Amino acid sequence: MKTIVLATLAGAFALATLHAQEIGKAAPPFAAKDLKGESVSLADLGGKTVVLEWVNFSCPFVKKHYSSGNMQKLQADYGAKGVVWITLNSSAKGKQGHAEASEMTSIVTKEGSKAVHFLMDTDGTIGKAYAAKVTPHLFIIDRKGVLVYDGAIDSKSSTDAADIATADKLFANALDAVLAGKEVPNAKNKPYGCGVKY
Amino acid sequence: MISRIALTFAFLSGLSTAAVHSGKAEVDWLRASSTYQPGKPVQTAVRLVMDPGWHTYWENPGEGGMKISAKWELPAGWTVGEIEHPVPLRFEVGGLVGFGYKGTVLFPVKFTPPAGFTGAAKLRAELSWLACNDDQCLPGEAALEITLDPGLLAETPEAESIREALAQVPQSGENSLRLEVSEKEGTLSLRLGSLSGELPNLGDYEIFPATPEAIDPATNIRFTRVGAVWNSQVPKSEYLTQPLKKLTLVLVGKSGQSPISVHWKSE
Repeated sequence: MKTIVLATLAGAFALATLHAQEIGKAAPPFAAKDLKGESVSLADLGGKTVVLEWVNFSCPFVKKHYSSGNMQKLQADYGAKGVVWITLNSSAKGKQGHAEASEMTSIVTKEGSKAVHFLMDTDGTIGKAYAAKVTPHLFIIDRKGVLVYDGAIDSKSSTDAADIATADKLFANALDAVLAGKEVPNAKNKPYGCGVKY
Repeated sequence: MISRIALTFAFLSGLSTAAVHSGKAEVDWLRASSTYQPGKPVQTAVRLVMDPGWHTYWENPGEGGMKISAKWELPAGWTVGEIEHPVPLRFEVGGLVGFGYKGTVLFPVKFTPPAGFTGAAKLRAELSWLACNDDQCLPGEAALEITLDPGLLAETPEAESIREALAQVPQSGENSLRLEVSEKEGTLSLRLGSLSGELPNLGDYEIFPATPEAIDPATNIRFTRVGAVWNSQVPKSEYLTQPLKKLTLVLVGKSGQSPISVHWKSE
């Protein structure tokens, strides 16, 4: 247990149903140690565009985007543009997608993740603060710490990797707009996937 | 005799004419009749028997989840209708509300041969669904085949269960009921009136939003009678960022009344 998540959050309280954060408002702050033991604090990432990606590597919708290499390519491509990509796992102990830190480290390596940080959010604190609903669920936080995207990776709610090529690239289009300083299209849309296993 | 769309997808190996177990469900494809008559629709149904503790999803899956989908490979000229969804159950997993099915569910689907068709017809389906329990989600997939011979109606032993399933598919109430919807900030105002005959007592019905991303799935939709209409105020789905264009509600009788669907479209 060398990576214990130290999540300190404003306004993180358990709700019967999750209430989303508003687009255009400050993204909920969080601070935690990543799998490598590095401290990650949203407050310290001011000036950078941040992506939050919720993951459960056993979820068929996540497998669609990892087995095809789509997610890793997005992580690498936008990483090269200075985006800080943070992948989070909010699966509770005993639920699908959960693993102890050491095992998760090897899974993340095996999957070829190109994310900058991987956070274990086993108690679901960060997930609930963002109302992360499914895996994959993607959020973009702009350089000023404002939540500017909350939605799906793309438009085709399926588990079939063949659909990636023909789907509308909702997330990538949004991130391109954020990086170009343009208005974000479809800033809020319904993400598809497995429910986050809180 | 394979249709053009069929050539565009690769078939799973292990095409089966019997039940298949995948995605925490036993799945098979039932025919109401072992025969077809040219030009006349043939009723079939895809049956999923979910393993205990597992569910699959309705046409509006709620938060997360996915409805069943199919790719069909049909003889030349055959057409297929929509997969019909019987009335769902509501469930909540980890604070997320979903709509779907536990136990046995039959999804009726009709096929129509062209007028001049002759000979035995092989219909193939590549089915894909999602099964979840409280802890995890798994994909289900099956490649199934049925054969229909030409001839007069010859009911199968499964015809009765298909009829029962069809009775659980909402029938449109558009001739008797009128739904009106108006939007105000985060709220949708719903108004249900009668076009002809008596207004049903909505207190006797459980109401589901069939249109995804319209009403917040967590909402328990309740109507209050005001004179000759029923009114309800419901919170919008957080994903409804454009004006709502259409809404279908499904009314499920609490004491065995036939389920009804009511529709609204913006002018």
